[in-house]
Amino acid sequence: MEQQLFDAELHIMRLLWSEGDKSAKELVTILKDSIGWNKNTTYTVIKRLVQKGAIERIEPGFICRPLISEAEVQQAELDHLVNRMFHGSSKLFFAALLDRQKLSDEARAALLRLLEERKEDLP
Amino acid sequence: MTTLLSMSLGGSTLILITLLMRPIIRKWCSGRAALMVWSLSVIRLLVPLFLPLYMSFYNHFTVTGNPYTPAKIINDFSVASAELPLSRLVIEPYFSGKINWTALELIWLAGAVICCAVHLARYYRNCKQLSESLPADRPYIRHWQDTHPLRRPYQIRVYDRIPTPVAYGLIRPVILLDKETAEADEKQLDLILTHEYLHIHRFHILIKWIIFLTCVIHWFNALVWLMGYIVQSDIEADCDEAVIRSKGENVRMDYLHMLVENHSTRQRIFLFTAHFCSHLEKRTRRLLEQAGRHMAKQKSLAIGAAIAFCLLTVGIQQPQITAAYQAPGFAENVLSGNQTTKTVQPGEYLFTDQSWTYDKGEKITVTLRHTDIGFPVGQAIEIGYLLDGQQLCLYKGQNKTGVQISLTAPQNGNYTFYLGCKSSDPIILQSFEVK
Repeated sequence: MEQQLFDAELHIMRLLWSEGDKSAKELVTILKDSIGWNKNTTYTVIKRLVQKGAIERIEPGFICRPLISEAEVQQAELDHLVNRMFHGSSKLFFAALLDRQKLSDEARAALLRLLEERKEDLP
Repeated sequence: MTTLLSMSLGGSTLILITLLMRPIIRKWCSGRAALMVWSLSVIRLLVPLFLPLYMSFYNHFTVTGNPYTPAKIINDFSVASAELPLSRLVIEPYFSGKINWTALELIWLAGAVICCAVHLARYYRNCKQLSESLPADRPYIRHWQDTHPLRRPYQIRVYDRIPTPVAYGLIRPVILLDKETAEADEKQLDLILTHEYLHIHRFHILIKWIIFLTCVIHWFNALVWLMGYIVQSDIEADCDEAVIRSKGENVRMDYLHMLVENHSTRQRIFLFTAHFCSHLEKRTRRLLEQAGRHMAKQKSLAIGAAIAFCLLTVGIQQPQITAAYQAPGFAENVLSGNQTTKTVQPGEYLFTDQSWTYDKGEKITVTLRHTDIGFPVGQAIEIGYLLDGQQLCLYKGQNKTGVQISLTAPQNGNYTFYLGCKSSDPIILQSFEVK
């Protein structure tokens, strides 16, 4: 899957990743109660996910099954971010991450440890 | 169609006057007062009513041209003209519910339908897209909403495919934040949320719908579209002022900076929504101009009201599209020389100087045409004739634009016809034809 997922699509994907396969009907009920989507909106987003190759539709019962894992999507999003904002350099990305003021000391130390362990893999 | 054109002409006059007075309005009136002034033009364009003032602004102008021709009237409003005794008059008021579409009316209808369909299709498509938004789950936003209640329940949602925040929805309003704004710092978020909240609170979405309706009805009038564009800018100005009033003068510069920073060149126009960053240049200029000038709300509203009153007295009166024709057999004394209309005052009877000689059994047709302006229920009129010193009434009743009466002469003699005004307002007579 090369195309990026929008927030609405990610919301359905997260539901499927956490709760497993669900029928479209179940998704409609869940999303109506949780985020106020109507039936048409849910079916539109499901249809788009099928077209993007993120989920497959299994008959009977219009069961939605994710075709990509959360880790794959995270990886794709990260690649996109690094390529777009850091000219493809993971080092620049890490440097920016470490410079973040919001980062706690503990988190910063953990990141540095991780970086030390895998520094040879970084481009 | 005549009524619509009259409304359009009257509304255009008001728009033009408002545009001429715009420098004063911009300088001295608040955004709300400016909207109040515009509302007069909108009312004039949408409501087929006017004040029947005797001292009309339009009395100084004469509309030339001839919108009616005798042939057209006969074709459009053909009546049964069988030989009938006087006691069985055939009276057919004009526009008596029979739909008789002219080419002009059909063109107008087609234009309005196309205009409406195109805009509503865009609106539907946008709504469908925006319905994919997610509820804003940031605790600060939830707290903000709890502290800013509205009578109409509203939602604050986040959508990652819009460049700037918008407010939309008339019955169930929604403040839609773009992803970046939803994650902005609290100070900035507070100003943006207040701006969108005030759009809903002040019924700006409703105003936009009314403007849309006006544009659809008067799609042929470029001034109405221009007014629509300027009203959008005034709506934003009204909201900006309200934000600064509610948050204090010290936020003005922060607000201005934020407006510029958030401005996106990728902005798309959503109909019936209030965009945070639309009309940026005008708004920033206005906010800068107003800085340091503490305009009392009452004062600006009073100036707005004064302008509105001036416009009311001028524009809400009806421009008289009264170019009349002189039909064959027309009584010279009723409309003579270069006169195009004749006013018959309340209680007055207007007799024709000319008499017509008819033999018994001869067919007579009396056709009266007057303006329909300002009389939604019709004017009370009386038509009759004088014969051998006796006055006989042929028709008495309420009538909007005219009447045609066919009768058979009951006896030989000289017939003199009359029109009586039984209304509390004068009748503006366009033609009085006897055949």
